[in-house]
Amino acid sequence: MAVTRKDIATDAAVRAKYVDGVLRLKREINPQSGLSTYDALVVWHVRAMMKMTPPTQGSRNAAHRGPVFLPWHRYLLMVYEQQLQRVLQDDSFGLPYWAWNRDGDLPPDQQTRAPVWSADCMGGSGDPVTTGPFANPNANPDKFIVRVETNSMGQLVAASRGLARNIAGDISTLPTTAQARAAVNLDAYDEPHWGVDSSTTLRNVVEGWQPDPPGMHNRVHVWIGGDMAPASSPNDPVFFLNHCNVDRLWAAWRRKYPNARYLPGANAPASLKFHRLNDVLFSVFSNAPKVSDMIDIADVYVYDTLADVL
Amino acid sequence: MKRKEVASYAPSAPLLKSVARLPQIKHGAMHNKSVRTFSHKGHEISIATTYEVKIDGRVVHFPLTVSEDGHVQSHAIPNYSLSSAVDIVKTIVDNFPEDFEKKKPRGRRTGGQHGGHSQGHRH
Repeated sequence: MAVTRKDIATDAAVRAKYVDGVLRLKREINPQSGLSTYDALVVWHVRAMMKMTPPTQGSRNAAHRGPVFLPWHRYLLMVYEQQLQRVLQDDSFGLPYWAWNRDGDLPPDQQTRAPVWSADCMGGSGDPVTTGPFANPNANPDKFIVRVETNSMGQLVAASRGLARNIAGDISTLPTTAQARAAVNLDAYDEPHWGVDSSTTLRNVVEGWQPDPPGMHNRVHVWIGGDMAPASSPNDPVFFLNHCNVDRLWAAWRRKYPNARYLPGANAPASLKFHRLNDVLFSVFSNAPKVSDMIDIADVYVYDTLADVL
Repeated sequence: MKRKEVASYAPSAPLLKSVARLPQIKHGAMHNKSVRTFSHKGHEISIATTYEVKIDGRVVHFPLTVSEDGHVQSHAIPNYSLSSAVDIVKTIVDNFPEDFEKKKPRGRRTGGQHGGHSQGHRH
């Protein structure tokens, strides 16, 4: 039976389990490196971002700025959800989402005070964050701590510090529900040139490259700032809540256009490796699924509602 | 995908094993060059853009790209898309101040161009 993914801002039980699960994954340490299972997801995300597809250019990579953006992150979330279920010993646990579009409908000064940033949810802003379950201003190694990050070159480097956020520091507002609905209303999944320039395709608009960047997913990263800014952005547990809402938009689009196809197809040129329908997703596992495996997930999970974005 | 298949795609042991050591990621010079190609009035046009950025007199190899509409982006801050290279470089400096300290405090190890251990904060 599929698990149900719920809104973290309104469901206290799933909120408590999510926090507990994150802290447990942070405590599972590889003794050789001192990095945890949670940190491995951060590293995997960085590796995918720096895998250029094709390697002769510097824009599209194995997880972003191209068609595979939605399937690859769906795969990442499924692995994460599976790991959370394992450490929580709860097969019914569904990864929560943060409906940032609903907070984006609030006046700007209220967006920064929305329930998701309260001390009993994700905590607030700061460098380092000083409130909530992931606050660790003294960099106590036994608490939630950032152990790996990317530098200005995009290279992975070790760290040992508390989580940082700069909420509304670089941009004042979140995406709105009207913008989310407009994205879901686009009937094309993607189109040539499979990059960051289309204003008429679901993938590129939801990723946030057009129109008026940063939009949607990108805008959420920029709005939160701090550890959500660099390639190591999964360091902030809110990363996964953001992407779960992004995934919810894709699920809404699938409901609205059940016959619309994922593009590019299996016969697209080799320069689109990792992005074609039958390509294996970039992974740290030897047994990785294909893009096509990520299209129909109704047997794995469902969302409690799609109504607000349809 | 069926739910029973998910476990085979998400084993826990290989995930933890994947970080037995921190992977070293290398960037090629091509990541600083963008080529935009398009047709206009029957002409096939190509515009190649390469950035050379110096900070405090030192060349830095930021991964910078420019999209067809002229916005500039960088994998250093992968969700930003700004209207000029000036703005994106300023934003990178703001986000990674420890990478551009003119004089590093004695005894403090930083990240930056040579990798290593960073104790800097995110802004």
